[in-house]
Amino acid sequence: MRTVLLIIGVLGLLLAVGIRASASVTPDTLRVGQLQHSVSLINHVVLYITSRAATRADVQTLPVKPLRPNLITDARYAYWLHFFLRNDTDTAQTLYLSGDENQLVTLYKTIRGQTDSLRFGARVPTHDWPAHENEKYAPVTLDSGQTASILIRVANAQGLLPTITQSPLPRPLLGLELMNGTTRTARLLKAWQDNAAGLQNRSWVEGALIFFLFFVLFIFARYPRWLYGYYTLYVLAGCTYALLKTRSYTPMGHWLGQIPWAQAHLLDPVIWAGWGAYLFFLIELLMLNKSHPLAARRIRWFARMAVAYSVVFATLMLLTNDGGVLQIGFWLSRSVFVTAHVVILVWTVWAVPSPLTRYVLLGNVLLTTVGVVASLMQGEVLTDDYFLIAELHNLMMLSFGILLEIVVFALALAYRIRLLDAERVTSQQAYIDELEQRTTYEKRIAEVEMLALRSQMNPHFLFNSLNTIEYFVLKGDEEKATRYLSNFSRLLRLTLNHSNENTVRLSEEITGLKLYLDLEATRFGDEFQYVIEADARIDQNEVMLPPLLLQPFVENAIWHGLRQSQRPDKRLWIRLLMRDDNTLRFEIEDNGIGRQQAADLKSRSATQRKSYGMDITRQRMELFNRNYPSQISIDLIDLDTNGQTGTLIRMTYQLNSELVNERMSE
Amino acid sequence: MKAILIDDETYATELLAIKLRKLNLGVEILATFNQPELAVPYLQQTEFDVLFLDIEMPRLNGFDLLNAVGKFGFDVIFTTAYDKYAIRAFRFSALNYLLKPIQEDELRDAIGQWQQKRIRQLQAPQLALFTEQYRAPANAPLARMALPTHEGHEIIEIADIVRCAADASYTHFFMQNGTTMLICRTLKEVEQALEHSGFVRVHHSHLINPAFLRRIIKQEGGYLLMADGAQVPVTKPKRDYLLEQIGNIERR
Repeated sequence: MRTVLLIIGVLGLLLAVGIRASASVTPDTLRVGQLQHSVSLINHVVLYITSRAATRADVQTLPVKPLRPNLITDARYAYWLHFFLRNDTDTAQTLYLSGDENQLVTLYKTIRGQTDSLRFGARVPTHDWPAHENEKYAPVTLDSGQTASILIRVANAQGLLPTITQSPLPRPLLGLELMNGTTRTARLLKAWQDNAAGLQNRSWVEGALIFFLFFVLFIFARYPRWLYGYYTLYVLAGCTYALLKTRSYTPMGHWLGQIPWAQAHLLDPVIWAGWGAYLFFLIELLMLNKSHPLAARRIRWFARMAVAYSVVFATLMLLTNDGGVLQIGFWLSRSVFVTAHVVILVWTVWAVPSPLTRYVLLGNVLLTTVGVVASLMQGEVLTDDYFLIAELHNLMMLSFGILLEIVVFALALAYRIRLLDAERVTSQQAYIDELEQRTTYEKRIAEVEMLALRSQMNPHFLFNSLNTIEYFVLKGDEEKATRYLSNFSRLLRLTLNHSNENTVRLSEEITGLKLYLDLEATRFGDEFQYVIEADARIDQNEVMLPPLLLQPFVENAIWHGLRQSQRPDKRLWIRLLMRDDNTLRFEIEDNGIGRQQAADLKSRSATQRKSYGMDITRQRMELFNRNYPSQISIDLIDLDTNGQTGTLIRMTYQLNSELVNERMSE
Repeated sequence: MKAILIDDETYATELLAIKLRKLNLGVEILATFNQPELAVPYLQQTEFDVLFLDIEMPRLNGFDLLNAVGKFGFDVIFTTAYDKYAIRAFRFSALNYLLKPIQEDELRDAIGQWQQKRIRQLQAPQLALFTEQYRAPANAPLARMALPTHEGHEIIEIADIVRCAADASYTHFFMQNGTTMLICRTLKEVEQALEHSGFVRVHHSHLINPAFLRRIIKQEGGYLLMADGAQVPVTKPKRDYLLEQIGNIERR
C-alpha cells in the first residue's frame, strides 16, 4: 500500500512538473556575439510536431513543446524547431546550421516579416545545396543588429506514394547545431583530413573497377557468351556500388549528389542484383548445367529471386521512401540471401571437383574477410589504432573486397579459358586421330576389297580357263566350248559388277559360286561333284553379304582338299541353313585330304609360298563386322570319321535387325 | 625330238599334244601324265629330249617333281598359266617356260631354239638357283643368276656384272674380273631380269651396273666412263636419271 501511494505521488509530481514546463515554454533568443564555437539547439528551441503534410502556416496555430534531449522521434511526423537569433555584433555575421544526417532540413529565416527558406540534407540534390562543400550545412546571415525568427523543419523526404508500413523509422534527428564559420571550416577540414586516405583508396578502387568494367565489356562485345555477360553484369554491379559509396564532398560525390535518391535507395538493390549476376556467372564458370543440372536449376532460381527482389525493392523505395520497407528488406534480404550464399558456396566447394572451385572459394574468402573487417571498423569494434602503415586499413571497405573478388574471378576466367583450350586441343587431336584412323581404315577396306577381287580374278584361274576353252575349240567340241565360254563370261561379269558393291544378295553370291564350280568341275574333267542345298525359309534375295565371301573357301576346298585327294568320289557340299530367325549358317564341306595332310604336303615341297587367300577373307570379315550390324564368324572343322577325311567350313551369319534399325534412325 | 608332257589337267596335255602335232616339227610325244607322281619313275628310266612340265599340280608340283627325278638327261620347258614368282625366277635361272594358253609361234620358237643347239640339258645348280630365287621375298634383289652359254650354264654373282651390251639377239656380259660372256638372250630379257637389282638401260644397246659408273661425260653427245675403262653411250634422259639417282651437288 505504501508503495502504491509512493508511485501515485511520484506520478503526480511528474505530471505537475510537466504541466509547469509546457506552460513556461518560449523560444530562446541566441546572440551571435555570445556564440563561441557551436551550440546545440536542444534547450534553446521550442518544438512543434505536425504531420508531414503540414505547412509553415499550420505550425503557428499549434501548441508549443519544449525540445528534450530524450525525445524519441518518429518518421511519420515533421518536427519544427523555433528560436530567435540576434546579431549583437557590429558587423554582418554568417553562422552555419548543421543538419545532422537528416534526409531533409528546411530552414525558414524571417526578418521583419520577410521570410527566406533554404533546403539541405541528404536528399537534396547538389544544385540545391546552400553551401558548396556538402549537403550538411546551411548558412544563416544576419546584418548587424538584426534579429531573425528561425524555424527549422526536420523530416524524412516524402515519396511519390504514401508509405505502406507505419514504421517510425528512420527517425528524424534533432541534434542540430548552430556554429560560427571558423568552427564549420575546422570541422570540414577535419573531415577531409580523416578521410584523405580513404578518399584516395576509394578513388583507385573505383578507377580499377571502372577499368575492369570497360575491359570485360570489350571482351563481352567480342565474345558474346553468357559467361562474359554475367561477369560484366557482376563487375557493373560492383562498380556501381563503389561509385554510389563515393563521399559527397568529392567531385564524383557532387556529381552523384544530383540524384540523391540513387545513393539512398540503390545500394542494396545493386548488391543483390550483383549477387544474382554472381550466381549466374558461377553456373557458367563451373559449367554446372552439364555436371549438376539440378543444382544449377536451384541456384538459378535464387539468382532470379535476387534480381526480382532488387527490382521490387528499388521500385518500392523510390516511390515511397518507406523506412519500414527498408527495414524489412534489409533483414529479409540478408537472412535469405546470405544463408543461400553460404549454402551454395559450401555445396560448390564440396560437390564441384573443378579446379575452378578454388578460385570461387578464394574470391569469396577475400570478399568476406574485407567485408567483415570493414563492418567491424564501421561499428568501431576495431579502431584505427590497430592498423597498418600508410593507413592501409582504410582499404578495408566492401568496394575493395568486391574488387579483389572480381580480380580473382578474372583469374578464374583465364584459367577456364586455358582449360577449355587444352580440352579443345585434345578433342581436335582426337578428331584428327580419328580422321586419320578412318582414312587408313577406309584404305584398308579398299585394299582388302581389291585383294578379294584379285583373288577371285585369279590369273591362274583365268588363263587356265582360256586354255580349256582353246582345247574345246581345237577339239571341235563346239557345244562345250560355247557353254564354257558363256559361263566364264557370266562369272567375269558378275565378279566385276560385285567388285563395286559393299554387299551383294546371297542369291547372286550363290549364282557366282555355281558358275565357278561348273567351270572348275569341267576343267578337271568332272573329277568332283558338288551339291548346293538351301533351306527354303531363307530369302536369298534379302540376305546381304560382302561379295565373294564364300568363294575363297570353295576355291580352297577344291585346290587343297579335293584336287590333292586320289579318292574316286570327290564331293563338295554347300549348305545354306537357317538356325533361327536371325542366324544363318553357311557350310562348305569337302571330303578331300583334310587340312592336316594338305599342310604336310605343303611342308614337303621345296617351293612353298604362303597363301594369302584366307588372310584376306579373315580381314574382310573383321572389317565387315566392324562396319555392319550383322556379324559373321567362322569355324574350321576337320572331319575324320573312319579314315574318311575332309574339311567343314562353318560360317555363322548373325543378322542384327535391331542394330540395323538403330543405324537407320541415326 | 622326243618329248614327254606332264600336266594335272587332261585338257592341257591333250591341247599341247594337238598343238605339237599341228606344228609338225618332228616332235615325238613319248608319254603324257596327268598324275605327277606316276611320272617320276618313267622319267628316271626313259631317254628323251624335252619335258613339258606344268608347275601348279596337286600333291607334287613341277619343281618337286624334278627334285624327285634327281638327275637330268633332258631339258625342261615349264608351262604355266600364271605365276609371277616363278616367271621372275625363270629369268634368273635361265629356264625355259611357256605361258598357257600356249601360243603357236612361241612354241615353235622354243622348239626351234632347242633344235639349233641340241646340247641343252637341265642342270642341278640351275634348279637350285631357281628354288632359291622362287622362295625369295617379292622384289628382293637377287644375288646370283644363271647365264646360258654354249657350254652350259654359268652361275654368276649379279654384283660382279659391270655392264651388258646387245649383239643382235645375243648379249655380251662384261664382268668385273675382265671376263666377257656371250649368252643367247636378248638385252631386253636380261634387262627384265636385272632391273630389280638396280641396273639401268642407258642406251638402246647398253645396260650398266651403276655401281661401276665412274664418270658422266657431257661432251661428244654424252657418254659414261665405266670402271673397266669402257665408254658407254648414254641418252640425255638416262644421263639426267643417273645424276638424280646418284646424288648430285646442285648449285643453289
